[in-house]
Amino acid sequence: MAHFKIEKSGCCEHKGLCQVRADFYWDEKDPSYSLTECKIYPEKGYEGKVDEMGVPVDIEDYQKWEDALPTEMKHLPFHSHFVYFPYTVTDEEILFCFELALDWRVKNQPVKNVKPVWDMFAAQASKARIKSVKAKDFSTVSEIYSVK
Amino acid sequence: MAAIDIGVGDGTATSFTGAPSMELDRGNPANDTGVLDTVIISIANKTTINKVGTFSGSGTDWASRDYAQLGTLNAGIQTITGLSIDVVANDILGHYLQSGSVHYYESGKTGLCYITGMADRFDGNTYTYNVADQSGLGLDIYATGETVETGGGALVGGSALVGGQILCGNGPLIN
Repeated sequence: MAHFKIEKSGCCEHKGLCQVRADFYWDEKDPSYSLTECKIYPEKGYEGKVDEMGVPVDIEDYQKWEDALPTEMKHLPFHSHFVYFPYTVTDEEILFCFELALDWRVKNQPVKNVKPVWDMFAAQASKARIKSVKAKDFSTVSEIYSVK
Repeated sequence: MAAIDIGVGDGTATSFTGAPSMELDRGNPANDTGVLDTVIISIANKTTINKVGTFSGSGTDWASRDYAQLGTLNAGIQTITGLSIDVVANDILGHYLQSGSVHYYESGKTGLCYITGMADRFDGNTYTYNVADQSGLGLDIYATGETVETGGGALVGGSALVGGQILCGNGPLIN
């Protein structure tokens, strides 16, 4: 499964709303969990000569400098999501929205390079489930999600 | 609602920009008017104060229309959802980095604009950008969104809470 963390660097006021960013991470036990080798860049960055656009003039020198940087293994987020709230939002509402967003994202995890396998049981069960969904009237009523 | 897209990025660029940098991509301007909710950006080195937004204008003179401050992003192709960036047909995409770098294409694209001094220009004013020697370049950034229906009380821009009601799903969460 997965969890989220509020990423403070992406939180700010925006158009009179509170912009909140959360990063989504796979849990350690999830099959998608992995660590990524990341360079540790010094605060001053590359100190060689750069052009007007900030691109190093001597690319080979930059590459040498970058290759020599120390590395660390980090657990990186697999997705970043933003939500805009009015200033009256409570902590609980922020948590609620991001839990929902995370759940949505995990359920929509793209499957790449996998051939679809037709499963007759799953197909029949899904058809039956959709039939029951269509028989009801799903809607949002005020702040409560309801199924009539 | 109709789909909107802007920018030329497809995650395959290998060259990297410097920082701080303020650059606009003249390729694939917005095809319609509405709100961008998803940005896919290829980060070469961890970035800070990363802003992405839309610009109106022509030639060398461009003004920011709207933007999102994304914050710190790690290296790799990053998909960011839930955004609310206003866009008008024919706007182009731009970004500002305080540090780190974004991948860009060295050829085969329409071209970039950059601003001398490399300062943040997401303030709505019109600035003159430099286009010399930028032909064929392109930023590995791409954004998508949808047109916004008017007159029907449509949810605009993905605000999460409107009138005390929690509206979920500020934007697609699918990569």
